[in-house]
Amino acid sequence: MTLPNIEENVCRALSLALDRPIRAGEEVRREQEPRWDSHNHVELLLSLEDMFEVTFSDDEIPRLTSLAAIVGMVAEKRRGLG
Amino acid sequence: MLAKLRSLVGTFGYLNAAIYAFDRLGEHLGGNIEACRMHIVAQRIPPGPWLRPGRGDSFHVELLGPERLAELPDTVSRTRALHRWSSGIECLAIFKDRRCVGYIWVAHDHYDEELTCVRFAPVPAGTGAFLLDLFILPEYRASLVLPRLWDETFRFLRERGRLWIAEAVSVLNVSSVNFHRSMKATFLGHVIFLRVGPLQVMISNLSPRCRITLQKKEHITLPLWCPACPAGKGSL
Repeated sequence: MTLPNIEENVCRALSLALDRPIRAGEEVRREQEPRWDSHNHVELLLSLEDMFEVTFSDDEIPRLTSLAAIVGMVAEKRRGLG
Repeated sequence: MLAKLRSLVGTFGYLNAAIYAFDRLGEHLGGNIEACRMHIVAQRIPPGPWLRPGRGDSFHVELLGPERLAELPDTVSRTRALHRWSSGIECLAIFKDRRCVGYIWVAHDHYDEELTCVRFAPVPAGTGAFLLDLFILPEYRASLVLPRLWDETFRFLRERGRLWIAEAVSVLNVSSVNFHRSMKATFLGHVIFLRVGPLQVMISNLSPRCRITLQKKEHITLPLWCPACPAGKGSL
């Protein structure tokens, strides 16, 4: 899976979680999104784990608070799988 | 001031903003006036956990007794915590590296709310539990602490034969209201409580709908019916 593929899929999941369209490359940060609450955050990351077949550690989950951070982490974990 | 009031009205509506303003005014006047409005929510205890096995294992949940009071974060007053324990309310606390990072209180039969002088009583007796004061340290709110604590609380209640839970959530606590909405909780009703000196007024859309009293210690019982139970029938 290429980086643009990963970003596209993360954007799709984030759009669903935040109930607004998210474009690749957009700067999306948790502190600027009222709908990105703790519950949505956990649900989003658990759904991304299923989507990309990766696991975020308990310590990584609180740090994945932006589109860029999530895409970077997924890409890194996917590389580790390959 | 006016701008703040407008923003409050925009966020919470006229009624809730007025109650909030009344409460703040009371605080300025020395605490003899209090006001709050709470949603009463309920949900069935799900048969299985939110998290897959093995997830969130760096956090562990323990039943905490009064002898371990010092381990709780100082967000709950010591007097209030001791009073809860002495009333039979139990505390489930979640730990990370031996540090308590969150907790929830479980009242098995009924809960005498300290501020509103209302006894929240899930009925039929023995089927439900009342949860209160879910707290997670801010730095752990976007972690697996919440689902882990939630799962363990539900497991704890399932083992004790409970089928559903009820809670009172302040209408001003937006994150908590949203959380319960996302968890598909049923909104059973609301309670408005006003206190001016010794005079207490309770208004609710749940029966008994209204109570006015001068007795501070006297709790009025608000029966909370399991959402799947037709009121008055008591069958699950």
